[in-house]
Amino acid sequence: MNLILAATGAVLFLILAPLVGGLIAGVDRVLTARMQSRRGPPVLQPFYDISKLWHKEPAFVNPVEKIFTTAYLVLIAFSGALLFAGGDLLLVVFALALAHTFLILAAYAANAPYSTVGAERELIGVMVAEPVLILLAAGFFMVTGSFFVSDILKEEIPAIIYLPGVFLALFAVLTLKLRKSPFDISTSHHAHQELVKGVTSSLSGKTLAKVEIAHWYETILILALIFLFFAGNPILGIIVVIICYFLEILMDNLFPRVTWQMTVKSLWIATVILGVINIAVIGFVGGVIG
Amino acid sequence: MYPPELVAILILLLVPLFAAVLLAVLNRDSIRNGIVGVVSAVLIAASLYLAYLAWSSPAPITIALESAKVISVGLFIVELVVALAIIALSLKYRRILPLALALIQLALLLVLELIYAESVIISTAFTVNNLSAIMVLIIGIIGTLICVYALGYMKDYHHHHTEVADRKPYFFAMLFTFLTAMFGIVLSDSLMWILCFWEVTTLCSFLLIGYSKTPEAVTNSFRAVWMNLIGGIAFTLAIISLLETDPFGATLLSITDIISYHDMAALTIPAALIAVAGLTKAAQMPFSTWLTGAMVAPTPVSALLHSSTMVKAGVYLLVVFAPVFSETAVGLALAAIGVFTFFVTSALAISQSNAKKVLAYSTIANLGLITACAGIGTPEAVMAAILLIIFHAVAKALLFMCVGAVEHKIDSRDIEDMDGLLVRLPLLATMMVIGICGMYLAPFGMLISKWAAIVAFLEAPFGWAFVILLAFGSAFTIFFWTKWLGKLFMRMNHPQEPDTMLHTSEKIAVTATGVFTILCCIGFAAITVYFVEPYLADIYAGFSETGAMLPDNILMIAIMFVILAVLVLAAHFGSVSGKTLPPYLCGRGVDENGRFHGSLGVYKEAKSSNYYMEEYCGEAILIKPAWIISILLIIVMFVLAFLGVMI
Amino acid sequence: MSSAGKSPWLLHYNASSCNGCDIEILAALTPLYDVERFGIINTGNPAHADIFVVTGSVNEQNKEVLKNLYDQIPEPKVVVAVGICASSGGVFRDCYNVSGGVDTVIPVDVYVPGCSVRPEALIEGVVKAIGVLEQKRAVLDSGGSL
Repeated sequence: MNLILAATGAVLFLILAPLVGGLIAGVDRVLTARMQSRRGPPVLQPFYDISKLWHKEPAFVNPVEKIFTTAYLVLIAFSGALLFAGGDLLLVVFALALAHTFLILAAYAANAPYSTVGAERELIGVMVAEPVLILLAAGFFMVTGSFFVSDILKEEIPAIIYLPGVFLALFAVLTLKLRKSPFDISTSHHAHQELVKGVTSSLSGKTLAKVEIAHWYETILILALIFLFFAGNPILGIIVVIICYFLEILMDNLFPRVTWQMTVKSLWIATVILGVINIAVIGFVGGVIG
Repeated sequence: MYPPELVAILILLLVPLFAAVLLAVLNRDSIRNGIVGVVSAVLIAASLYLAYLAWSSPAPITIALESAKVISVGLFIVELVVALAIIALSLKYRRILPLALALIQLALLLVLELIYAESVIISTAFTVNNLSAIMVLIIGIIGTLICVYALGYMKDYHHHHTEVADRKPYFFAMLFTFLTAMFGIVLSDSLMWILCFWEVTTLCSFLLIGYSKTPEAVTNSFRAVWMNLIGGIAFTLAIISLLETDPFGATLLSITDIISYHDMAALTIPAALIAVAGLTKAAQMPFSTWLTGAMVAPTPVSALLHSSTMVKAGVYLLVVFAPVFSETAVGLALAAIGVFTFFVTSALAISQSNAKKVLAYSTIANLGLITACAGIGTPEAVMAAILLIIFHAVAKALLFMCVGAVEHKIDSRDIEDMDGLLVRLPLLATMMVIGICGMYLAPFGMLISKWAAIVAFLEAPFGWAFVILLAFGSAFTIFFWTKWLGKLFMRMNHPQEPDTMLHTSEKIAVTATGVFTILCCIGFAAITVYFVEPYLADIYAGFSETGAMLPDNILMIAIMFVILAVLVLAAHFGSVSGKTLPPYLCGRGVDENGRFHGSLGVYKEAKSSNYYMEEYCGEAILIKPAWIISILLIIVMFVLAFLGVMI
Repeated sequence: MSSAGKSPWLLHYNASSCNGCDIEILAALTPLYDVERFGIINTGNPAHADIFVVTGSVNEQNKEVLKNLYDQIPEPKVVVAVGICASSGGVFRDCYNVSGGVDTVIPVDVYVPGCSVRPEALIEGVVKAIGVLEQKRAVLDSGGSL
């Protein structure tokens, strides 16, 4: 990959992603409020929240929380930067899993009932999403012959033509990745969450702020993965990303009481039916197309 | 005067054997410590030297011996002794299946020796290529460190298990015999010789698993022996079938010659038989139960069986035959069994709370991945297989040693009891964290190898099907390792003094293996470029370099290492100022013993255990279907072999 | 207004309320009043909270819980006693098991009387609390202690 281009992509991501991600979170909250016939907070509310959290007194149940949340933030940012630098999709997936491991460890470290249950369920979320992400990387490789985002972006024909099933499977796990549903894992800001926010229940102040910022980074990262399916056609790509996010908000408001068992089952059925069959068809038809 | 290579080889083969005899005779702790220490130092030095020689030599080192014929006869006698020993023990304990299989094996050995052996000319006695050098390093360093570890461990073991008769001389003699056999397997060139050492490992593992002589140990040891006898029979049949294919030259018995054989289509049946031999030893489905049963043995045995010896003999054989598998449909079927095993046993590991059992299933899973890579057999896949062998050996040995030592400290091998271990047993827990991270997290060894495997699969025919199973298996892997890791990092709700009491031998072995694990992870690029790729270039014509480890990715992995290193330093030196909150339970307070104050005035300990998903991943649910599927796959493999289907 | 005032997160605890005030608090979250307009979130978790909203009088059973929750809220924090029971013990103040209003256990910054409290009064009280929160934040930011 072109080093200067890669570095530019990475730096732009590191600077802009939290801004855009925060704005998306703000718009999300306003839209959600409107769907519930409320006015909702200001669009900049997520930034106010972070600023407030940053000024809170440092407090923790276990001091390792500080370093684990930092690790979570840094590694999520790293995975995203790697993606935007045109790096290897598989490495992005693995770095993402590493980042989430740190968040889960931070929750375990508190050794408090809610925190532990939150950690377990967050872990289930990671486990559910992992196959889809690996299949996504594999699918792109089978279509384009490369794991590198920089190569995938060069393709004339958008990958969605070959990978509609994998795309839908990714869309399905978006709910989890955006922390919308299920309500007994999610840490969204809606009233319909359980477990006093489970995985973040022992975090406060700066440690919580870091998790929020990491979430903004991750939102952009996941949306960029959706965009990747429309690499040849950027305008269509952005439109689809917006539609997907809107549908997520809609689904979140329509199904506020999805439990984690239901999520695991439905998402893996979706992954198997959509993602796996898609990969199998490509495998049988063409092997490596690109 | 012997050439230096031969001297090193002879040291590796004979010194442990000699030590075994001494250890069997002398029963004084101080003498035993001395012998084990000296022999370990000698073995480590000799394996390093031999690896250096192999690395610096442009072509694989081959050594011919004039007395090869005599040695062959000697080894045949050893095989007979092994078979007779198994027969005798089966009779003593009245076990029909092992007895029958041992008799069949004995008959086959006699047929092999009396009918075929005359024509066999062993032109090359020993071969040291980079793969065998890597294996020698693993056995020489990890294997001997486990023996050192056993010194301290066995003292505690007999302290904790007073009902078990103290047979330490026998135990250590077996450990070192095991090492000799392993060196024999990886250094010999002729399949005839490998078969002999192969049978010796079967016997040694059988005797070591049954060390405690409890009914469970005896049952499990016989299970291990009958399953491995199936492998031995398949191995013998493979040799006979190879001799039938090429009765005159007997070049096919040389592992350096067989892989460049001109007519691979003629080799499908021996390849399938060798595959079965490898599958049994590597404890793949449906033969996995012997390895999970083997954990009744003292932990050094588990560590040895799982990391550097025994199961690695199985995958070593498969990796050696990878070029044969790469061109035949047998290889595809083998790869399917491997990746299926990875998938199922990773799921099974979720349902286990016994740390040793989790490790056992994880071993089988990773061996499945190695088997799959060997079955695919492309250079990229073999590279992934070799990396997996290396990283799995170090990390798994480390984890077993840690679990063993922890078990003696906290009187439990249950992961649920390991909460807050970083506070209670800092050294062991730190090493355990290193081992677990090494097993599944980026940017450490196993994950890098898994990554290489995914790339290799995708480039191979039908590889996509394997990637699908691998994707789900990896998700299970993340689940069961992370929940274990989480337990270790838990805050201790009740104050506890750190415990630093640990036998020196255990401390040395654990720390050395931990450091070795980190070194391997950091040096993976160097290992790939300087050790693995020359081997591949030697085996596969037209191979230049694998595409898996591109410079860009190596740079990114290096950045990840730096990030993690900075984080670890920050964790170590960073400030911990701030207010400490009590654990949250809806406003219920915690007393000094970590119990929450209940509303009726009683104090209750709130303990939340991990998810085990018994209803999806339990042994009762998964094992039987997995047996059926894997047996069907083996049948398919033989059908493909008899049809001689090529790719 | 600093960010402290723009993002006050609430923790609601029912000490021994008759649920009258609690229902009014929930009413404040509904579309009619929608306190999220002010960035207010009902967190349910002391570690995340800034404003501690307590309803009902304090009795011997929940004293410790109240104290524990208060201690788990990181500074700066403000306590709002909602309803007359929380403010003074109300009609229950002379009961044998009741120790009185919330201020008998933890320091209270804003009192919102009423039986039960109307959502308008509640929102007014929280807005007052935001003012106190801002003051405390200013003290902390300038290096002082509370």
